Amino acid sequence: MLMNSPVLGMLLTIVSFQIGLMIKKKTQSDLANPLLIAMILIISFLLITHTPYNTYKIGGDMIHFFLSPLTVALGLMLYRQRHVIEKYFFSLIIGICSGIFASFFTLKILGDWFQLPQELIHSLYPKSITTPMAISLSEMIGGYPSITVIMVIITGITGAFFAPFMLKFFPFLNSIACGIGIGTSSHAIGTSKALEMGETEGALSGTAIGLCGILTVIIVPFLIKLFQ
Amino acid sequence: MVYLFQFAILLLFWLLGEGLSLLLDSVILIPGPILGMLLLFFALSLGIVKEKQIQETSDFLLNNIAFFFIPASIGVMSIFTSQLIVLIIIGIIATIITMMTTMFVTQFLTKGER
Repeated sequence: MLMNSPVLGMLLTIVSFQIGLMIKKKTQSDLANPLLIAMILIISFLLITHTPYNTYKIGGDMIHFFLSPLTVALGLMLYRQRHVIEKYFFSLIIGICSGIFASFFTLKILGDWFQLPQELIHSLYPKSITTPMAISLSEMIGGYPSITVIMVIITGITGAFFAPFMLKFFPFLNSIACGIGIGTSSHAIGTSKALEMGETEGALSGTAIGLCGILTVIIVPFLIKLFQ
Repeated sequence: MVYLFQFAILLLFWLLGEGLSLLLDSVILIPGPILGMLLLFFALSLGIVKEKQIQETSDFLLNNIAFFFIPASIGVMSIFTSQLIVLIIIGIIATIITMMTTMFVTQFLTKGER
């Protein structure tokens, strides 16, 4: 009976995420990502108790459903950033597009060089954008959404880790360049670091998240078609 | 009731987004929820929808955003791949190159600004 009920999946997800948030709060570490911790806890639990993934999925799907309205709600986030978008429009658009091209070609060249299967390379392309959009894009271009989610988190942690070093190695960078660079390459997790670096950095990084998501969704399918 | 009504507005824009996605199907493939997001942005900009009409439910979703990704990540269980370590290495290199490229291009465009 329990095997067919969504209660297990939902309860497991909520409890694991709470534990993840607690560990994050205790350690204050950039590496302690609540999502990653929850993921490890849930997978361990399922493996130890020999619970099949499909049993978890019944409850998981009910939570997963909310990703679509959540994506729509990002429109409100974008609306709140409208003044920043107006002020820095060209820097944002051109900066973000350069990042999208850099990301695509690096992944394509390295992926082909390591002889990865196409589905795996396609799972990597959406990795710099915010997760709900990344999942949609991954499904659309034939990647594995679950690999995409993991890569999105790893990308975010990498960005947050390296952002302060960029300023150390290249001290001539201004706050506009830093903000847009962080938001374009490492979405919300990077933005949390940008907010620590300054107000302009934080605002531009946050604004770059949504715009980078939209532009990636438009540009990447074309690039895939062009270079397949 | 406020939360449910606001949720209904988000669902309505999702529905409109799916409709538009079908219409654009032959020209360009864009997922419905993302078009819904753009439609909501324009509706807010034009004053058709007011921020306070969707505020509470949207903020609830946006503030707990990471929670809703968990089920999608668990799917990795069923596609175990030994190449995960290669993916991670490539991902880290690509992230750094993306960040540097974006920063340098933007720096070039905004020279002189602070």
